[in-house]
Amino acid sequence: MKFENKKWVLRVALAGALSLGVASVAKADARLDSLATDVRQVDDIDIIWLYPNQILSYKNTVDFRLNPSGNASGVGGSNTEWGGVIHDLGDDFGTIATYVNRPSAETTGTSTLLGANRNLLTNYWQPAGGAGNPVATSSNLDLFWAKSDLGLHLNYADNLTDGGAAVQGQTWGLSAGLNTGAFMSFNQTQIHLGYTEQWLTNTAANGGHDQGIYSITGGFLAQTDLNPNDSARVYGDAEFDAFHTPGNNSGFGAGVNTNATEILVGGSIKHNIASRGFVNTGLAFEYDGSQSGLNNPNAVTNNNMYSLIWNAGVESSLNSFLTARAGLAKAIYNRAYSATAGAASWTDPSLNAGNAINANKNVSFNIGGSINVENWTLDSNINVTTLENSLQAIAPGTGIMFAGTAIATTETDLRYKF
Amino acid sequence: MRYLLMVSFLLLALSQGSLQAQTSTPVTDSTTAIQQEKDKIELEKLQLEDAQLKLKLMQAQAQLSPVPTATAQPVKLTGDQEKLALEELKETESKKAEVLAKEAKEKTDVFILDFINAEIWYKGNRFSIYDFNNMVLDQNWKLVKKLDERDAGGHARNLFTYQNANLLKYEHRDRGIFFMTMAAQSGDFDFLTTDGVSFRSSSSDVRTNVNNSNRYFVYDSQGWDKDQKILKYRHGEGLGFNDQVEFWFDKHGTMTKVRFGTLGEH
Repeated sequence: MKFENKKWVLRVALAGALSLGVASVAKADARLDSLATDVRQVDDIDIIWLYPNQILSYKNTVDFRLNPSGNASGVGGSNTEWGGVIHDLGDDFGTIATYVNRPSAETTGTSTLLGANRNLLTNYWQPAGGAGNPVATSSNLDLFWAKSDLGLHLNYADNLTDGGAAVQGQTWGLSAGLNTGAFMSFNQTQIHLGYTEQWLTNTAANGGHDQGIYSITGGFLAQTDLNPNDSARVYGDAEFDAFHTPGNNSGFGAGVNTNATEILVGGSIKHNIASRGFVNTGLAFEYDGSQSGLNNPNAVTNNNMYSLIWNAGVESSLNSFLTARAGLAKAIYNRAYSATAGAASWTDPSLNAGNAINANKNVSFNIGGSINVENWTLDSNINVTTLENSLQAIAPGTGIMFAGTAIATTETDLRYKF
Repeated sequence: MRYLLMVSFLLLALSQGSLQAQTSTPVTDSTTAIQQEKDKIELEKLQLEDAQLKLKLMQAQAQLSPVPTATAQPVKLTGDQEKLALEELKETESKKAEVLAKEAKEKTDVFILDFINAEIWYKGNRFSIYDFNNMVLDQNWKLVKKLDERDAGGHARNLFTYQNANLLKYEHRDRGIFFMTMAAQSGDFDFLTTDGVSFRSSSSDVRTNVNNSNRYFVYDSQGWDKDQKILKYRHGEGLGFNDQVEFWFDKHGTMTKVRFGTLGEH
């Protein structure tokens, strides 16, 4: 097949995605959450958590996150922030990065859209053993190194947790990302592979250790330029999670003995607007299959979950120092099948509680912006409810900012380039 | 007898030619010497042209700039007056650049740089210096584009290169960093500013020309990068990146690089 023909096939395939809308689910930093999108679809510094080789693109950046665990947690606390520095040390040594206090997982504005445990759509990093790990450790230290096209990420956590008994959790993880260059009709391609394991010890008198808690991850991301203003991406990720503990008296979390497999495939199209911003649309599908309660053969629960998410986001600079963003994500299809000892059920976790069948269902709508002064950037995601309340109660002369209802932010990131 | 002498002389000459052909060094020396002489003549020609351009520039400056009087005292300008004065200065500098560009219209290896208006002139045509990439495309030259890095928001900072001229610019910003390195290969460019500075200027020339004739950029500092001396000039205060110009010199005093734009931007 000729190069052009392959490109045509790709365009037709992506046009299908576009006809449904375009892009994926909001997760991670304030900017991505404001766009209701996924770092696999839009260039953003959070890509380093999937592809460590990408620290080469984001070299010489100070990256501080002012909220501990994503969109749902809000800003504040002053003692739960996390962040790090990416530093280019030259062509001989490469680029290194150090992050500290990274949370075990990020909850996002759209996490409520899908319900629990859509692991790859709602988190692109999660604890060893999967998002359901009840004794997940936040990361003490993340170290990156990258040179040429290869990047490595070493993760270390050592927390004393309280899971009903004194439990020490230690986690080690190693992942790699590789820029694989142009391939077929794609201008850029890259792959990643990783392994994370957690060791639990009950330091109380009864002692005890886990029976295997680990995750294996892998994925690819490819981009092609359709024309000077439009580009398309396809991506895929897969993960296997195992969480095994001795039993209910271990203090490691009862009844979560689980094996889980997650597969995510998606595509997106991005249209640049005269160097001022872009519109991005995407479509992503995730399958999660798991078996939980494995320590009791008579009460094993089989779960199968299918999610198809469409999302769209727009980013545009208002002037040299202000940028506005907005994004919308919706579950086109979302079903969870669960069966325990013969009793099975189908549910749609996207429903608003108490919704009538003819009511609008749950969506994730996000708004945010950036202030950029010289090399400083402050990105915020606005609490949409507070904004809409203000818009609803505009008082002439006072403006929407002082209309009696304060506008709150849900997350904020502070960055500096050097 | 006469013929015999001529034939002998001819044979002797041929044998010497053959000997020279076998021992190639003298020929190479001769060729190198000729080439060096040609290079020297070419350099002198370029210097002469440069001097002519500078002379014309000075004439243009004399025509366009108000003549300073010995009794003139600095006058404190108000905000509006300052803006007006700046606009007038920019217009004057633009006219200087235009005169210079028209004089250099036939020269295909020189960029006329107007740092005050952030403009680059080539073959008599004006471009924004931050639009250098499009200027290259307009000339049907082969533009090299490379991703240098990204900001945290994922915006690409691209490095556009043609020969020894480069533009480093974020895709979402109006300004960037333009820089030229000393000509090192065939097809590379020289530059000439409205202050009369070019790659052949010494650091003393730069100090004298920029300090004396430029009311836009002020001297900032002298810095060092390894063994390179850097003369720094800037315009602007407050929020936002200043316009800055840097001239780099090696330990022999030769200008190796000129940088202009938002040099504080990373």
